[in-house]
Amino acid sequence: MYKNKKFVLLVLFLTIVIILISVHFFQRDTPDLTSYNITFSNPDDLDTDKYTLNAYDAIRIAIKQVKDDQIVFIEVFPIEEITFKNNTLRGEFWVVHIYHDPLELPHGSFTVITIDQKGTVINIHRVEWVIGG
Amino acid sequence: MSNRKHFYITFLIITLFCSVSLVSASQYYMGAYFDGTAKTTTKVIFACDYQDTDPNNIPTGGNLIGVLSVNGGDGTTPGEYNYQNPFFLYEDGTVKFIPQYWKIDKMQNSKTYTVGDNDYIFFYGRINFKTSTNEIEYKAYVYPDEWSVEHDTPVIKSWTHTAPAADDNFIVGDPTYDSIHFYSCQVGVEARYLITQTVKVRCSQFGYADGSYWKYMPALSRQGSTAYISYNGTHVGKVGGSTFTGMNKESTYDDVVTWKRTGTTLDNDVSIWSNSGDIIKNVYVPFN
Repeated sequence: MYKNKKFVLLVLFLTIVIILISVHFFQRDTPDLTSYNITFSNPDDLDTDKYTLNAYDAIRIAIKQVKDDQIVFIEVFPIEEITFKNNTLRGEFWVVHIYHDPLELPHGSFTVITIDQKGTVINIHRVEWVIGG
Repeated sequence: MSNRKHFYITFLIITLFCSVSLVSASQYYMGAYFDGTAKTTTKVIFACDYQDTDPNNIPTGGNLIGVLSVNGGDGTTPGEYNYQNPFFLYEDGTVKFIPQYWKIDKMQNSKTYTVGDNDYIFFYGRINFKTSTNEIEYKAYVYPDEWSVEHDTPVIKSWTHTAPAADDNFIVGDPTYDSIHFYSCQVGVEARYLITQTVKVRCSQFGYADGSYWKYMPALSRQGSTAYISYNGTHVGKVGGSTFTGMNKESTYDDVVTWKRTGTTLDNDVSIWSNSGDIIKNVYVPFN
């Protein structure tokens, strides 16, 4: 009886731990977007039938690529043509710009994440912005 | 304190001072960019005037600037240089033409010419990519009064430097490269210190050479915090750097915008004018 009770308590403890871990990861996979300052290049982007991956999915995918505490501001826009190192791809893509520093500082950076219509991140790079004139 | 300590402290202070002075200072900027498929050109132009501005509304030590900025490149791929032909208005009413060019965030060179006053009729600024001599040429055409406009007799100042090897042409339009939207040719208003009084800068006849024609594209607004113009693969250079808070457009029609400080900040990508076409010229000499 005593051994059974100990076993039940152990199972209960492990269950709670598993639930807590699951909740933790579930929350990470579905970030609360209301806490971010998000702008869309065109409000119609949210309603469009053209882009099968909607903007919020694009943002969720993008946010997973960077640490939450680095995010200050997010811009999202659809794009039909992308050029990387002089190679041009045509199709339907989402581009998410995640700014890591307040925009008014003399120097800062942003991460550029390009996502295709299957939700696959096809390019990610971080860019420093500076005053150029 | 020993002399050696004095020396080290002085050295440290000088080094810090030099480091700070080398960092590009952010300026307040609001602009309009050509919205269209990227094209190459070898000539760009704009005109500005300050006739409706009281220079006393500019903070002491500050300025008010009408400026055209254009990215250089090899074809339509954004390059790391940008070229500017700004006219600076100062608190005392003096206007200076200060052409300059930048490699991302480093100014490469500039020249200063005192060219007039705030009540002059037109200041035209033109930049030429002279492919035959591989030079960049900046020209100011200054019309002090009605007589000079009627007779088309501007005072002309010019400055030339060798073109960077990386550039073969200027770019107009708004290409997207590496998923970054660039605003390759912009006309705007800039200031060293934020201006909180009413000021106006009228920019007109903003255009580029297309063969033997001078053309303009539709234009959209762009704040200084995201006015991306140059690129080297890891760094993006932007005009101004900070948004000109409180700056708005008072009136616009095709190829003309009057920037006015109203207290309301103009949003990004607001239509400044929607048509494209041939520049309607007030005078002819700057376009020859």
